Amino acid sequence: MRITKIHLQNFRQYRNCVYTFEKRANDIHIIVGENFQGKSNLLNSINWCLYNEEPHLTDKNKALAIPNTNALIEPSQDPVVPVMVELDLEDEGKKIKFVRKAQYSKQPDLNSKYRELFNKLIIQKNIGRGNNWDIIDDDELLRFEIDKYFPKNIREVFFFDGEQLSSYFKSSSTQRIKNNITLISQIQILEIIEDRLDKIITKKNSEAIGGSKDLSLLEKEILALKNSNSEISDCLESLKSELLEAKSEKERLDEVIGSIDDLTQINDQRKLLQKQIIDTQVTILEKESSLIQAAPGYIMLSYCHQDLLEFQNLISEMQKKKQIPPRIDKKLLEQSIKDDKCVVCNTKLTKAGRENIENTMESISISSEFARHLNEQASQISINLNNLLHTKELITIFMRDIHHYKEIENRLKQRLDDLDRKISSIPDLVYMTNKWNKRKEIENAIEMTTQEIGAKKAEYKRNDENITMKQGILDKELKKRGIVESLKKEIDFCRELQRVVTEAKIQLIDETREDARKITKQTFFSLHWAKESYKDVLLSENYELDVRHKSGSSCIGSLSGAERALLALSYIMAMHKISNLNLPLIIDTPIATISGTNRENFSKVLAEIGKTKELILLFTPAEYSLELQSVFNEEHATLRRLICSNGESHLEEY
Amino acid sequence: MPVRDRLYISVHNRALLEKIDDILKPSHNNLERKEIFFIAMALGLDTPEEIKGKKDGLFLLKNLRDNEINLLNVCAWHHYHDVDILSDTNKVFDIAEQCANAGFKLIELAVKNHGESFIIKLMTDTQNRFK
Repeated sequence: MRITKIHLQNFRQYRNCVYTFEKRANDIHIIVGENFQGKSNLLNSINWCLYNEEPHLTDKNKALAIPNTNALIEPSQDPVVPVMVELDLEDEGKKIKFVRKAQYSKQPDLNSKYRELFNKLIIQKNIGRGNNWDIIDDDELLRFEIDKYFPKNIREVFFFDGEQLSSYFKSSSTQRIKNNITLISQIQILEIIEDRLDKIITKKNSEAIGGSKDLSLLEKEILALKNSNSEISDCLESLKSELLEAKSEKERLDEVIGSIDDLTQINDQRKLLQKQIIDTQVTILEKESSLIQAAPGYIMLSYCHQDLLEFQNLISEMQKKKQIPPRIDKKLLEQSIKDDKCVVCNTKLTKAGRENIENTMESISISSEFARHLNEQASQISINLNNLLHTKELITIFMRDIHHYKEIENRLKQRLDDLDRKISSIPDLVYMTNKWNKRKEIENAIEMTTQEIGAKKAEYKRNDENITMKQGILDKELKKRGIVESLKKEIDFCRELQRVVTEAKIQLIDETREDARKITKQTFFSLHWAKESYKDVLLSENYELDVRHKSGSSCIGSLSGAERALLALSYIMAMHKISNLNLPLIIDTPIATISGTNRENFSKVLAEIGKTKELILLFTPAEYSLELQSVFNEEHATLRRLICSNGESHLEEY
Repeated sequence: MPVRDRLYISVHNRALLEKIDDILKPSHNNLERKEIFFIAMALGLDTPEEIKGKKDGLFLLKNLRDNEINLLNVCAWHHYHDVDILSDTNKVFDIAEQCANAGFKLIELAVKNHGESFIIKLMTDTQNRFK
């Protein structure tokens, strides 16, 4: 099948433009245009025509209405602007036209939007009966025809943005591949049969159970478990899809972030370091304060130290020489004389004892006060000397601590400086920080979703075990109660049939997957410019595509942009082949993400594909370099330049 | 001669004490007046200087602890090398005031050169001197 013509009227930049794609020896059609001239809107026009959608809109165009701006503002009697995209196809001698027409009010509404008044697709088919065209306008039939020629679910395998090519096999692709293969396997009918058989089995079981309340309850439980598992399956699919999307988003962010360190972590580290510096400074201040409190004592005692020692020695010498009398309590002596007995041992005083006490009292009245003073000084000197020792120790400890904490402070400041230098070298800090924060959020989401998937799988397994167990009990009970033999045979037959259908479905998918792998591998190796580096292309049961290096190691992650694009293209070619849809390929900016000599290599691959398939390529002038021109020079069927002037796009000869 | 109830400093040193208060206030490291007096006395131990001009009472003697009185006595003994000096408390206080008077000049210099860390500077100098 080929696209022979695309006619656009009042569709975005296109006021009235006709693309024709005449086949020559090759079927390559090249359109060269700067950005915003209408290349991506050509893809949008096809999507709009077929599905009433525009998946390739730029942000600028999203804000604009579909009708051509000039047509909207042009003064005329007509209050509406007609929009039309006509897609002409040729399929084994048959001609088919997909024509979508719409009308928009020229008068904007209160929200400044141009209201769509009418929108309708029709299909015209000419199956070789002269000029007789069958017109299809019934919605059901229209859907059928679109699914026949351009199945919406796999539209990405026939027209897409070239920038997608090199990112085609990022993590979210597994879901995409699974969807493609499931759709192409055409197992929908088997799924319907499976579902129908399930309903029949349930109905037959109910008949077999008859009026038994116990068994009816058991059956209800089984049904509830099955329903629960069905919901869990849907939930798992959705979670897996979320997980893949999150992984893909993480990969996209990783590409943006590149080799820039984790800014969230750096900011956390900065905050932690700043806090640690403040804490250390507070500790230093506390230690310094303690040091300052100890300093006066230390200074005065140090200066007096020698004198303290000498004075202590002097007093000690005086005590030895009995120059300082021992301390005697005069009041006790007076009390003893008064009571006529020793107040210490409570014995009556002798005459000699009384005289002795009276003599002692006489001598201490002269010198005891000074002696007491000297003894007191001796005692205080000891206290001061001890204080000096203690203060010296404290000061040593405080100074050592201060030194230690200052070293810590310097090290922390050094680390903070290093981080600040690292941060200041990042060109757009706020943007990158946002990206890192987003990445952290996604990482958390991935972790949570993974846990949720695990929990759901466990729940599914538990339910499944319960179903088997309850089903066993039900079967046994039915047997015991002697259910009608014919009914039992019917149930068993349905179950067996259901098993066969399920197996067939799995087998079909497996076969399709293996075919996809083989053809992808074959195409990849036949088109690769350095195929000797690789050994195999694998497509796992989980739909993960991988390329094996000749050493046997996985190398999909290290493929160049061009190689990834080639792999994607090989896979797409495989999808075309397996689906038996001989579809054209329309690629917007096919080499946008490919650099250097690989651009030429990849262009040669496209030229090769153009020998067997209609290929419409949309390039920017920068992409369509002299090297590419030399590759396509002999190969292209048409070559045109797309120019947009005064808000209207038109084609010129290149 | 009546027994004194307080120790005196030169009026001139009052400004220095206030300055010390000011520079230590932000870091909450206040020093007591008598602590500064004893530092000054220790620093000027060998070079007592008579207080000329007007004197100003610094603190009451009754607020001194016994070990602080002991330091006043040790200061007096350092100069007179006679234990009997201890019985003449006025002489003890006089010599302590004269030593402090000399020491205040050294503190003033340290404050001028080292600001709030003058006390640390005096302490490290002391450490170096009495290693």
